[in-house]
Amino acid sequence: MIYLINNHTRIIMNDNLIVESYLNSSIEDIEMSIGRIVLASKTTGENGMHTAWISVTDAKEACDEFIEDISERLQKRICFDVELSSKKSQETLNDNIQIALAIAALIKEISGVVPHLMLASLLVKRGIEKLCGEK
Amino acid sequence: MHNVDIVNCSLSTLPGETPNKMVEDGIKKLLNDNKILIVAAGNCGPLINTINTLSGIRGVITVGSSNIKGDRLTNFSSRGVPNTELKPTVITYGEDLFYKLDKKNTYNYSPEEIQVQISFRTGRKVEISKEEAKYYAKLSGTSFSTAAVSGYIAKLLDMRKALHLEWSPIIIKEILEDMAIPMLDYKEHEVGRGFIDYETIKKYFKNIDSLLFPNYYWGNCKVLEKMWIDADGGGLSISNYLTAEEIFKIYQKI
Repeated sequence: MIYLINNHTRIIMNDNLIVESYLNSSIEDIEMSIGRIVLASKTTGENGMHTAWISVTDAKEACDEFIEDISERLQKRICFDVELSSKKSQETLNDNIQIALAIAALIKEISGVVPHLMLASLLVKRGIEKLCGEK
Repeated sequence: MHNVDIVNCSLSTLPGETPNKMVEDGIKKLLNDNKILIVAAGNCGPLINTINTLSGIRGVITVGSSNIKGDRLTNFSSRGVPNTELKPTVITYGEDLFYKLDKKNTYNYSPEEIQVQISFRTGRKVEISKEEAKYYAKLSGTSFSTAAVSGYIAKLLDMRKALHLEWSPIIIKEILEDMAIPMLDYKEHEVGRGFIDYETIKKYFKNIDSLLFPNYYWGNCKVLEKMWIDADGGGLSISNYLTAEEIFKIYQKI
């Protein structure tokens, strides 16, 4: 991932390291960040920026609602279109970081305001089988 | 606006979001004109890579939030990315802070409780009546921390000007980083150079500049005392009633 800000700063980040960090975080922490991002996105001003103060603390609820809203599209993309779950035994996918990166690429168009790497990491932590309704 | 030295921007981008052209140009112009620009880290923690992307611009001061004791980073304060320029510069109080609102509320905080906290975090004695206490609420967010750091910088700038010392946004940022108290339990992408508050600045000047300028006495610097007090309590008002867009529009007209 490369950020170009103000033509001054070029920041290159390693997706593997970011995903690794997310996967090492607790499910609760990922849910809090996703929920807070969703809440912040609802305070967008005319200038496209977001006021950085919080009045609603129920980030977990905001996260759950966000995922619920896109769950059908996530299932369709991950469980049916690509059948990632059944491919988990493949050598390259036999690693949570690789699985999360693969999912992130699939859901980039769906994740909206939430960074796709973050959302993919949460789905992996919660269990892809759970998302796809497998026993 | 020509006399403005500090611009407090209690606003943020979403993680990974590129600021729009107008904001970007406004920031560029402010920095080129030697204005000190302070932005909020954002409230999307605790994961990494949630910080305001404006923090990556050289010269911008980015502020995260600590608890009221100043010994813990708040869970909501956005985190940067290890080994990059995306990180807070410093952190200061930003959790459960008493602020006076326009309308009465039903929280029923005691005047003593409010007085103790405000006196503690601003270094000035305040008196709150029972009636006035009904207007106070506890608020959290890196916007409040940003407003507080704007106040600290106003104080810092006031002293440097009084002492005829050189200053620029980069110099001020470096001093701020230098005076911050390291938080050893945290990494740089989480808390930047550490914690800062009114007392930190006071001690810094007592220890360093008073040695260089023995005739200087901290208590004599009153020029921006009013601004300091306003900045501490006024950040919310600034961000609520004057948006960055408006600030930049006004600024660009001059």
